[in-house]
Amino acid sequence: MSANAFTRRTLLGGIGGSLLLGSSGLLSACGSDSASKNTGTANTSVQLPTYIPYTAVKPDLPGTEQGVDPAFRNFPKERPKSVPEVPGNGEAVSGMAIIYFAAPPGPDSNSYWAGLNERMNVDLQLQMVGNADYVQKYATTIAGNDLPDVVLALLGLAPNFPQLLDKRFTNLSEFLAGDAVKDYPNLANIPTRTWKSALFNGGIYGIPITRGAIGSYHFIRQDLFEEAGLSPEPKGYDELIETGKALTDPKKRRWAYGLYNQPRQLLGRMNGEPNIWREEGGKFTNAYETEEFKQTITDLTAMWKSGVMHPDSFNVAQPFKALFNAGTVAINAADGYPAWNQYIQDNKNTPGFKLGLMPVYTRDGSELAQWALGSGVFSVSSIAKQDNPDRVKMILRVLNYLAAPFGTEEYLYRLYGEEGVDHTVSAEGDPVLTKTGTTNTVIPVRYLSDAPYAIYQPGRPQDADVQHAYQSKMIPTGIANPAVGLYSDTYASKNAGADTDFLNACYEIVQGRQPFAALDDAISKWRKQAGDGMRNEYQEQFQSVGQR
Amino acid sequence: MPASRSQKRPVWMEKPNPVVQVLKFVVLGVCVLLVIIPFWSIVATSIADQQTINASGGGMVMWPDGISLNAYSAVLGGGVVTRAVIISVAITVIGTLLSLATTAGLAYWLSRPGAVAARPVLFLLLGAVLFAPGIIPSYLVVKELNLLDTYASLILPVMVNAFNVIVMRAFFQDLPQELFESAAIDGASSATVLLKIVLPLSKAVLAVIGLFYAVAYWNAFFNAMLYIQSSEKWPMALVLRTYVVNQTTIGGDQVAITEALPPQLSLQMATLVIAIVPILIVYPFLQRHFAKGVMIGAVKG
Repeated sequence: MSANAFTRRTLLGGIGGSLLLGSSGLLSACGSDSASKNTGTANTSVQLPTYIPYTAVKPDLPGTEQGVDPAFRNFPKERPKSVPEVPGNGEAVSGMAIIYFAAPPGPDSNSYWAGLNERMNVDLQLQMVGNADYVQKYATTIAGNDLPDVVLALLGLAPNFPQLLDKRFTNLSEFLAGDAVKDYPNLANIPTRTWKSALFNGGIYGIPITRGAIGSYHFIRQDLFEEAGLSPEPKGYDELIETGKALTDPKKRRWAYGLYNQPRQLLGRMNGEPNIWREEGGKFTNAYETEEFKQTITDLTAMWKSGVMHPDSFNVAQPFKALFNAGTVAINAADGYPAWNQYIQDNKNTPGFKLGLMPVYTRDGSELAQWALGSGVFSVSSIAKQDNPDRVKMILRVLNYLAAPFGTEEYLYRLYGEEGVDHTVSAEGDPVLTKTGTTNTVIPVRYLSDAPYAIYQPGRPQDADVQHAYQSKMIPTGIANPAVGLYSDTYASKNAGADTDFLNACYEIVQGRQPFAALDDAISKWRKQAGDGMRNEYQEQFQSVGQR
Repeated sequence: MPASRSQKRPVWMEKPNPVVQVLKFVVLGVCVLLVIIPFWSIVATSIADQQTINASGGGMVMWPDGISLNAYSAVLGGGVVTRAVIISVAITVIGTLLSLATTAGLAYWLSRPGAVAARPVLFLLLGAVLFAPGIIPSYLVVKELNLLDTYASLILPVMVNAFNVIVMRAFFQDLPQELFESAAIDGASSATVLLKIVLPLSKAVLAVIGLFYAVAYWNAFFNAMLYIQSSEKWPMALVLRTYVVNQTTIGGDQVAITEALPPQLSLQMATLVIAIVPILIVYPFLQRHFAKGVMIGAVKG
């Protein structure tokens, strides 16, 4: 599972049908011409914003162009100001975004929020929507045509998204393309590789909310590995199987894996599956259609039989994080990489807890397997159509402020609020949120605009090295998903259902309830439902783009 | 009278077979346990700390080691939930009163023989039972009436429930017609009949339908999610939802250390307890009306 916002589960929970309903009304309002605007050619002709990395804060371990995140052992003592001017003009700026936390107090009783408004000189009005309800809320708000200024997009999941952007949102090219972005230095600090997720209809239609190229981590309970005298780096298939068996003891309620997806991702890497799609000479092949995937299913069937997977592994609602915290499962592969912080936080008082990261090797164990890189973005935030270009500029200045890089004064306030109220500073200089800060600072401004990711674990400088070393090891082997930055309407409207059907078929096969031969039927069904449609749409766009 | 016979058992009933008695006890006992155990586990988990949860394998706790009220103080601290509780209570009370008034009025109209346009209105209601409006049409109506981000948007769209009107109408029709005739002879107006005769005789149905409405208002989060834009106007159900459905307290995306937080599972369970308590308090008072009230709809339509 990547760090992407909208997992399959979220989508299913969101009653996908409502989106269709919302968009059918929309489409009738859109001319058929806009449907053809989102071609690869149009999108390649867009000049991407110039990348000007922010250099005033020096990381302890530098990032790389390939996408290794810069790492900080402690919070920088010097916190330069990155936005000299006040971005707002006193007007209200409204936004809508996901909130992953318990609801914070409103602006009148939230000193952090009020302070943020004051610093930016805006009246920030936020519609916060719980993760599980965002799909519904998005569709309804769009249909109501009463859009907030900045809207976190349902990237890839909203049907007819390019047409929607064309009709309701601002093309930001004139403000951001090429050197124009220099007016917003913190937006110019957003890596080039992430901007292509914001390209539609031959224009820039949003600000990427960036994520590291690594996408996910294979977390392990290193304390349990050490207790069992196992290497945290099993090389090749046989060693992985041995490790799994050694970690499993059903009598003590211990298993190696907690969720189907975890060994599935590990084995997928090991067997050399594509990163969702593989592109060869303009032809797209999905991982499901490859021989490598069949090998993965064979391996999984054997794994399930050997009992190293938790008995409830096929339940997508399995609380796998709690199982991992409890030591019930020892390997939590393919979890979003920012979860590192959460596991550390959750297990502050767990005796002996040691978090580790497991590299994955090829089947024969001779070399590192190809890492599946993440999409590089959480989503993009788009700006609703505005009557006045000056207002667009003001909103962009606000987003520029919110994108202040790690270590700057603005970043410190945005994440940790006011010293003495929302946070205290430890002896090493790390901010520690107070109770007030914990409830106040969760307003979801970070989903309107955010700084590029930086590795930092407050109070645990050694963690920066562990994570940076892991990223430096895995990212050079990485392969990207060629469909990132391409838009498929079939994916938006049909993939969730088709993918669930396919997954359920795999569950049946792995558990031995269906013969292996049923996989071929499942694949052809998946192709009919969504696979071929997605392939055609991706290929069509890809061909006009060529190799980017 | 033989001494062995229970005073409560009528004369014509035979002494129950002890085997059957034991069997009944076991079956009923199992049923009760099936209800009690999950509930107990929710309460136990809500007062457990991270160690206890980890010790139970990361899942629900049956026997907490001690009582930790951290989860409750985390949920209730900060003023967000307290404020939301006040909003929810107000909406529930005002909404239920409005709903009962409109439902009773409409049901009375439809229950009187020969009332003007009663047929077409009744069909309209039946239509509303069968075909619920979609989410987006409802949203558009609320928006066009300028009700977005108002408390009224949480009451008006759901104020009259067609099914409840039909149930109440059936109850009113069962009242003895002679009462209406004698009232008419004494010169009572329709309104007097409704207030002085019909409503006092309908306490059972009012209690039950009032409970239906109240529970619906108390639990409603979906309309609030769609129609309410500023989070300080959120009712409790929506606030609590952010505790329950979101996977993380200190989410994967917030890089911070904080003062120790209660475990997520405890938070969720504490939230459940908070949401259940008001209904648990109200239910016993309405319970005696309950069986009588729900039966009405069962045999009449």
